[in-house]
Amino acid sequence: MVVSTVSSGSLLDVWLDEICRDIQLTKSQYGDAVEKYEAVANWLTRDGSTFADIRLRVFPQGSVAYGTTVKPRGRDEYDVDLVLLLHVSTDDAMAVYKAVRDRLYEHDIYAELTEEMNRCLRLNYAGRFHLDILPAKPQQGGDGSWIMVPDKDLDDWSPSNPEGFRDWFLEIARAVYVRAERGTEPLPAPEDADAKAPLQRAVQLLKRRRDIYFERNGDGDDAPRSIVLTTLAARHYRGEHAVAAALKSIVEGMKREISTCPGILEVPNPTRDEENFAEAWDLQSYRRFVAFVEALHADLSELDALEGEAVGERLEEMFGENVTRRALKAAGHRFRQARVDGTARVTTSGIAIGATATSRSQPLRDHNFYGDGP
Amino acid sequence: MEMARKPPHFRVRTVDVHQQATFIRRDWPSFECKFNAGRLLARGNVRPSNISPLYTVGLSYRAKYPPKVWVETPSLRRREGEPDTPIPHTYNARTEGKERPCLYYKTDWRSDMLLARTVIPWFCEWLMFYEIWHWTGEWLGGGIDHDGGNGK
Repeated sequence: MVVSTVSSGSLLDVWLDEICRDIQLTKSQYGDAVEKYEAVANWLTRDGSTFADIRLRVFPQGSVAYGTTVKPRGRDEYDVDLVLLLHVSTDDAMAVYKAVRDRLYEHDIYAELTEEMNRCLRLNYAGRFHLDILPAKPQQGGDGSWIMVPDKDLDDWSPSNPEGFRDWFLEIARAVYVRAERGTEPLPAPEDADAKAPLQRAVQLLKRRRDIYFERNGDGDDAPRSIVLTTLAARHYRGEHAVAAALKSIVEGMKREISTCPGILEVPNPTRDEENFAEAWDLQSYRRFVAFVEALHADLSELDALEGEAVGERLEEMFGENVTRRALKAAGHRFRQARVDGTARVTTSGIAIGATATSRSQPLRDHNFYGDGP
Repeated sequence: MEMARKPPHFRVRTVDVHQQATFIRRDWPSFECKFNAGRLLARGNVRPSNISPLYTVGLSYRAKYPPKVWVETPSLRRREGEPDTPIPHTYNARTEGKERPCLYYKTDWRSDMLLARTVIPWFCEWLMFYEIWHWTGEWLGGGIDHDGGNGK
């Protein structure tokens, strides 16, 4: 269960918030993901399964768990990640990997969909999503969430801590997560998927910007991993309530960190530092990442300085034309609704919604514009 | 929503022009207030949102009469490529260069209300929806047409 603080602010912030609502999983896509997640969890854990008598837990990881989903461009599928934590102590990583694989093959439909990845088994629901199942065993030490996952390249276990990471991220976002003790932990409820904290919004926007930037500037393969962006964002977030301000300090922080790092930046899992999320970077892909952060910084500085129509043009360039236009209309509707509901406020800096009441702001009283409508 | 009926007659404690000015100066420090023959003339800057330009606007008010507001700079203009489409929710909509925002309907505002807490904020809000209308072609702030139709 996730409880989060909704972002707030002036027109730019609400506009950015609406861009995020436009690019994240739709309610029905989300419902689809929940259904498939629960079905495969059930298949893996129920009577008759290889794992039926083993103590285990299933829990989500990745953007669905962090509340930062973004519909990918280019290919149609988004990612849903599930961890199957088996309380076993074997050293044989590949045996565990194969046991999960074989259990999936026992199912007529899953057998057709299963693809073997380096660490996880992927159910490829073509045109909809990839459901990535990560086998794992617990490991002593750390915060109690440490796990080991099988790695085919290494032919061995590899250290990880997705739950620690998720809890760390959601706490910084001030979205509180309540863990289930055993059995299958559900994905966050769809209603919660709608109300997002400013940090979650910032991560969505970073991912979206990344998708567009790397599409335009050549190689999509070099694009920085979402987990890298998510970690850096959470590390540099300073608790801002408004999305635009959050993005700004995050990007400034990233830029600073890059400039003070002599070689290729490492991005360890803050809850387990042997896990380096950026291990795949080489000199070329890292340089591309640095250029991307420069571009982000330039984008946001310009946005700061622009007024009026030029703002819309820049947002379209950053996040996509249609998305930006739809989002502005949605933002307009939201402002009107807030006035009617009594949650709109006004200060000398303009109209804001969701803003906390201060002595310098006053409520915007409801009224009707008059004269000829359009 | 029905057209508002004429309210029952009762005594409204009109706020005088000097008190109006006191609150305007306090809530909107950029505004200068002057008086001329019982009429308040206020002029100042408003920025409707964090991505809007700064507008210089004016307000004229005589006790018990409806306040008048107008935009000085940047001047109001019609949408590019649509020279025949008037700006929504304005007085003098058909006369380019003379449009004035239409901020409220009948009893939304009464002379016992503070301009600083009603008309000026509504003016900011009007400007924000005006900008959004420029971008999208849609007036999203709701409102009531002159013929009584309710766009709310």
